[in-house]
Amino acid sequence: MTNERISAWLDGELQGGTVAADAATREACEAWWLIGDVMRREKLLSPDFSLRVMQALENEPTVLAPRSAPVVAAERPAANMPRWMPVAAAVSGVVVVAWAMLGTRPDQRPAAEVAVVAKAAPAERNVLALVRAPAQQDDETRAYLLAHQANGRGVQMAGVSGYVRPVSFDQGLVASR
Amino acid sequence: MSDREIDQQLVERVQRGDKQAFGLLVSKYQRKLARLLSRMIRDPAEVEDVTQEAFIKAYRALPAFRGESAFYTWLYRIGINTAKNYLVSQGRRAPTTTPTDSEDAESMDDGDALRDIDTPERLMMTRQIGETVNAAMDALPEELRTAIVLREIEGLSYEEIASVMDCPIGTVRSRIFRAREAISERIRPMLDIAPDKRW
Repeated sequence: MTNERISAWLDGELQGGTVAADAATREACEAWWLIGDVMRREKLLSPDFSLRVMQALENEPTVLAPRSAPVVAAERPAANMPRWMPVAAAVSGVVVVAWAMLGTRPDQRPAAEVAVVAKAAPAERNVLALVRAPAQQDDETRAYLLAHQANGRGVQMAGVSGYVRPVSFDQGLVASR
Repeated sequence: MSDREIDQQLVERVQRGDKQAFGLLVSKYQRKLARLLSRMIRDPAEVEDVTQEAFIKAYRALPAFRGESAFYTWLYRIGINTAKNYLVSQGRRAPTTTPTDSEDAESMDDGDALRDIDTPERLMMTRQIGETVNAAMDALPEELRTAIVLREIEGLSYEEIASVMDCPIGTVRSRIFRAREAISERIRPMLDIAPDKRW
């Protein structure tokens, strides 16, 4: 490496390069750092200060350490998390619960399942009868269902159990009546 | 590459077993660290001893240095603690104006006051080197002198100097190098260290 490149490295202007710590480099760097410090009126030490430090280090065991790296956020995963993540997590949690609740609503069932709202009496207004049948029922069948809905077996459905009561329908039974 | 990145590069080399790379860090920071410690310890000889001890402690602690802070900040902290321990061992107290924050050490400007308490020999050496550097600066061609002043005194980057001097960055690099070579030719005899005595 030429001395000009060493000079540039010393100023942090040598892109992607480094210098070997050989005798020529050390001598050049030492003189140039001294010149800079003199120009900035730094306090000067004995000319052999570096030599004395390095001689003292000769008795020290050589440093061997794992390759150091700046502290990375991986040590604290939360440090990398965007600030909106906790809010998004809370909102998504609410959505999931709401979907589980509302997903059982009668009006979200398949088209083949038709919800029929009873209109006959005030007491029956909130009662839904679920029938797997064509949308068009004759009036007789509809009347039968309404008349017997109270005798149907209750079904425990989360969130809507108070509003849903299925009733059974037997075409043959209706016909015999 | 920033100054901090250069230091980190050297630190990693030391951590891989390159002891000579630590010598470059010693050369670079010895005077800055000594200036800091001079605020705590008045005697110049003691300042040198404590500065040396601080560097040795830094070398021993280097495996634990992970680059969370700049190397010089970490080094200054070790220096301050070393000086405090030294004063305690001597039955003295650190001055209350001691910069406890190593970050503050960068902005200190007490060189003139320090020179007042230096020994005559050290004052002589400092004056001689200073005069030699100044004489060498005066002898430089104008463009070399401007380039080295903008770099060393004003701390401008090569790109900024190129803009100020209206020339290519490569020219700035060459001018700064030539200025350094010319000045170091003058001061080299004063450093008076035989080649076989160099580290």
